Amino acid sequence: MEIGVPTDVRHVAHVTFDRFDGFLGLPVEFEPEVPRRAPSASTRVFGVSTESMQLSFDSRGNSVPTILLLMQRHLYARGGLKAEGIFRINADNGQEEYVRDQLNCGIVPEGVDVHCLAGLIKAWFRELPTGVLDSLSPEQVMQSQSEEDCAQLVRLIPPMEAALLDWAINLMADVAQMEHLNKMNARNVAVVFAPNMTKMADPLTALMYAVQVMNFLRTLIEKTLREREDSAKGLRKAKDLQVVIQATEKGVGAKTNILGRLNSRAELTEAWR
Amino acid sequence: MSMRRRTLLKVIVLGDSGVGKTSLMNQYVHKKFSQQYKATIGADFVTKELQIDDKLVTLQIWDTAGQERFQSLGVAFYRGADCCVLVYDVNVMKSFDTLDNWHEEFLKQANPADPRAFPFILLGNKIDIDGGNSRVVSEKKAREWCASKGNIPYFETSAKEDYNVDAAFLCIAKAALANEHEQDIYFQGIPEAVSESEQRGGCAC
Repeated sequence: MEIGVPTDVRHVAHVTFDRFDGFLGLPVEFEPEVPRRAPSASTRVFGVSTESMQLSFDSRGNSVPTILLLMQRHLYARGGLKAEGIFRINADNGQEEYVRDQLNCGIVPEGVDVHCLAGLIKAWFRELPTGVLDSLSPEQVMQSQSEEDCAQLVRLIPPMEAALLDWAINLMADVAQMEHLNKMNARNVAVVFAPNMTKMADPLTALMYAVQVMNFLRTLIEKTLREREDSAKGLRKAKDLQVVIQATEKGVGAKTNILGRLNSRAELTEAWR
Repeated sequence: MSMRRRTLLKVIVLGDSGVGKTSLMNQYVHKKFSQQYKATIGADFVTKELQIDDKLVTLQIWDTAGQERFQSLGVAFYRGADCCVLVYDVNVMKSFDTLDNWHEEFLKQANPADPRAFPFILLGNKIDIDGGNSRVVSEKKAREWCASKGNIPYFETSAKEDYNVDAAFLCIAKAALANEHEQDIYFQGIPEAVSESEQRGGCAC
């Protein structure tokens, strides 16, 4: 068989994947099958690098995979934070495969169990090609005892992983804040997340390391909870302060401009102390 | 004659998260029940000595985390086990449905010489909850499951009320003894850090 030399070569399309805008340059005829803003450039959202995932910004300005935000939104909307043992209770295996398939297409199916969603969030971290905390050595984690040590260590983590960790810590803090309903305090939620944050070949080493990672996560969760409380107190005090100022203005006609001079809630909290 | 050999029996406790594995173990070993809701990290093991007939027996009970990530640890954990205790919560259907998985997974990973003869025991825990009104798995259903797996002994327990816990563990010890492995009392190759080191001293209760 003879095969001739190609002639009339044309470059028809150039398709790229942008982590914020999805597929660019996708021919129109592909659109029915390939959503332009696919959750992942791969066919899956689990077990693939964040490099090929579509990203969005969370409320704190972290760019994290859109699929995580989607799962989080549904988890919260379906009362997941109030469910006893959320993130601890094993999900029903029967449902999981189907939900995974749907998530791969960027859809959270109706009526999905909150424990299934929570389990899949953990699975998402567990199945990453490299663990979120893999850039840290076990020695570094082990030696970080104080809150300051742990905060210092977080600064060494590469940007993408740092954003994922920050998102996860805030998720865990959301859970711990509802401890009165879900029984998951900072320690419990750290226990169940810890083994999913590192990849280790040897299971026994992984098990021992999980204790250190758990303590590290717990410290960060407790720090976050305290900061939230401080900022809430700051806000309350700001309101009180405003009332005081208004009263003072009415009473003596003094023009106080304290609030205007303070730039942040933290400063305000400091000033009020 | 003066050689003092004790029998060490390794018992593995398996089941879904939150069914009460740690609580059963604590009730049996320490006679304590904690209302505290506490997830187990990795695994804890405790030992208890008991006399069965004229034999002094050390039960080494491995309390494993129900967490998915640690299921890959099975091979390391289950090796050399003399008995496997499966636990479910009579108020949670899913914890009963997954017993098949735990049973199968244990046999696959522990790889005992004669899988059909390996001693299992099933505990249906939390029968105290709501005076039994919230239970969804009937005793009949549980016994049928046991029968289908080669007549596994079954106990209904409450770690909280200390109901049937001693009886269950005695049965476990006897089953394990029948499948005994004579071993040295010292636990070779078990890293100390396996138990939760966040607690300074003391037990995991």
